[in-house]
Formats: sequence, structure tokens, C-alpha cells
Amino acid sequence: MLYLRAAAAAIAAACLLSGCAGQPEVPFDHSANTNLKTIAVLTPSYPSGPGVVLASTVGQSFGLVGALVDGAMQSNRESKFSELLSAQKISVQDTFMQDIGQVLQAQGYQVVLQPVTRDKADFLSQYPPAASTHADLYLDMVVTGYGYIAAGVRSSTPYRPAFSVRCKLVRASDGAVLMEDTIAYNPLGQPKNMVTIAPDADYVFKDFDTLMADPDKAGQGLKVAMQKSTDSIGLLLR
Amino acid sequence: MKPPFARQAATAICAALLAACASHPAEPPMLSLVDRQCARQPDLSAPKVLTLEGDASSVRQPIDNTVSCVEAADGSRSLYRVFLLPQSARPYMVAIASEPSGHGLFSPRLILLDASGAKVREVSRDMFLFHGASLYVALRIHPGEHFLVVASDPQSTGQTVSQIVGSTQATTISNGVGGMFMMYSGKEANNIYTYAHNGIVTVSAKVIPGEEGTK
Repeated sequence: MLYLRAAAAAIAAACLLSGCAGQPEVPFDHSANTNLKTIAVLTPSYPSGPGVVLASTVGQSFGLVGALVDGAMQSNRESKFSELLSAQKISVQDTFMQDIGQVLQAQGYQVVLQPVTRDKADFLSQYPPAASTHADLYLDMVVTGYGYIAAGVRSSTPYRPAFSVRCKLVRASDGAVLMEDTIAYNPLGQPKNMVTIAPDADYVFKDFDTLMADPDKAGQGLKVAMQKSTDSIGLLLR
Repeated sequence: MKPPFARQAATAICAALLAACASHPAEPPMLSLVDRQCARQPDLSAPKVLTLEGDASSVRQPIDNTVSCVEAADGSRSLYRVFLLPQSARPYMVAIASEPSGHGLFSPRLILLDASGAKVREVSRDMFLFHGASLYVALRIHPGEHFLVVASDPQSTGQTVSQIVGSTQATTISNGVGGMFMMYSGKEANNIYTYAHNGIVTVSAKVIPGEEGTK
């Protein structure tokens, strides 16, 4: 049962980090909304932990048995990487919120945090009444994956950081969607309907052992991925 | 001994077919327009028509040495194409994508003009973000915006960008006893593009997602 869960997690993580096609994009029109200055950043949705994904493995050629083996190995890598983040005192949630706050303030917005609870890893279906938050806009974000990804098992396809987030800007007064997009840092291939960011060439590890052997660099690589992703959200809100 | 005529003919036909099938080589990145005659204003007399529906809702056009050139007051020059925007009461958006052409990537900027040709607003090069290897921006079109000028950005032309892209592929392989299985593998490429005055752009007009019913 544990291995089945691990296999399912491996498939889900591969999809999330590899950047499956995004939803149709909605561009923001800042010039038509200059009166909307206060953004309430809603508590984002995050995956339960990091993904450390080998996007193509030998195991994939061997059906369920291969998937189980891959799943177990991936689960093991993710546990170790999660420990690395803890040891580095890196909280993805705290770092992401700090980055997004700075980016929005740099764009001239007043930023407030609006705690919300989510029952699934998706955008909210209903937003808080504007009267209760005193915000003009809600920024609703779903972090769909973070961690490291390698396209294959060989040293020519090393691990590089990856991060992906869906974001939606909603007008607080009437719930109108003013912007919607997906940002993927280091997606596999050429995914559709999303902003893509090529990975920083400095953060590369030929295999998982090399990654674990340099925790400072591994943690910093993920931080850079988050920072560049939030920078892109800022660019979408100009 | 000469090869039989049939074999010679077959060879010639194959060679002709291969030549015909060979893809047209991409133009090298155009980095200078010093030898071009450039007007001070874009020519709006023959715009490419965009519509909200039908074939003309997405128009893919090369920007090459055959298109017109415009010169700004500071002497900087750009190649450009002009599009006539749909005139619709429904809110809509226009998406502009510049895709690589060989090692070159058209470096775009936009100018929106009213019906008289007066500038309404500009969209600078840094508003374009990557969608894979393409530079992309989408805009909500405002009332009164009539023409879209897609022009090359002289400031960024000549700069290069490097993109590391990973991908996976599945290959069907025989197991030697009559069966097949899938072999999965990954690869990485480091694509380096030079921002250029020339390239290929696709301009698409569409109703804003979620506002299809809005009148």
C-alpha cells in the first residue's frame, strides 16, 4: 500500500513539476485598474512536500512493478531533500510569501495577508467579502510543485531546481477575474499556456548524491527558482 | 560498368524529392538596418486584418527584409508589420508571440494606434515573457485602439539568451521475441538565441477567457 501511494505520488509529482498545460491565460490590464491598490494575498495552496523527480527512468518500461520501484525511490529522495530543507532552515511557504510581498510592493501595491483555508489544491471557489478584508484585489495562488527535476538518469540530464505556481487576480468587489496564469520554472518540454523560466545554469547536480552533498547550493537553487517565479508574477501585474 | 538506367532514374528522383522536402533554411538574425530606407511613421495603408473568429483570428507572419522599416526620432530603426484590430463591442484580447527562426528570435515591441494613426500606447520589450522558446504577451484591447504595430526593438537586438530545456521521449523497441516495449529517456538542450530585427510572429485575437458571454 505504501509503495502504491509512492507510485501515485511519483506520477503526480512528475506531472506537476514537468508543467502540464496551463489554463487559458487572462492578461491583466493595469492601466484600467490603477485605482485598485491593495492586494490581499490569500494563503496559497502548497503540495505536501518537495518533489525530486526523475522524469524518465528504466522502471517506466516495466509497468506496475517498475512504477512501484520508481515510486519508492522517489519517495526516499523526497524525504531526504525535505530533511535537507529543514536543516537549511528553508521554509518554502515563508520564503514564497516574503518574495511575493516584496515583488508586489515593488509594483506599487499595498500588500496584506489574508488567511484562508482550502479543502483542495485549487483556486478558491468563493472569495471573502470585500467589506471584511478592505482589499481591492485578491491574489489567489496554488503552488503545484517545487523541488528538483532531472529529465533522465544520465549525467547529461542533471538535477535542476523546479517550481510551478498557478495564480489568479480577482477583484474583491465583484469577484471578476482580472488575471490568470501559470508560471513554471524549469518545466520539461514546451508546455502550453504558461510563462516559462529557463533554469539558472549555476544550480546543477549531476545526480541526487551530488545534490545532497551540497545542501547550501541545493537550497539556494530552490530559492532562486522561487524568486524568479515571483518576479514573473510581478511582471504579469504591471 | 554503368548502373542500369532504372537505378540512375530512381537515384535522380530520390535526390529531387529530398531536395524538395528539405526545409527552407532560416534567415540569419538581422542585427542592423543601416542599409534600409526607413520612414518616420509606420505605413498603415495595407494592414493585415485580424478578426475575432475564423481563419484571420490567428495570423502568422514572417518579419524579414521585405517588410517596411520605421525610424524613431533618436535614429533607432525597426522593422514592423501592421495589423488592423477587430472592432468589437465585446471585450477581447490580442496575444503576440515571437517564435525562434533558426538561432534568431525577433525581439518585439508594440505600438497601438487609433484610427487616425495617433499613438495610444506602447508595450515595451520587457513586457514580453517566455512561453517555451517564444516571447509572448497578451493585451486587453481598449476602445479606440485600431491598429497594432509589431515592431522590432532596436535596444535589445544583438543580445543573446540561453535556455536550458529538458525533455523526455518514449521509444518503442522490439524485445527480440516478437513483442515490443517502451523505453523512456531524457535529454537536455541548451538553446542560444540572438534577438533580431527579423523572425516570425503570430498575432491572435480572442475573447477573454471567462468573459465569452460578456456583451
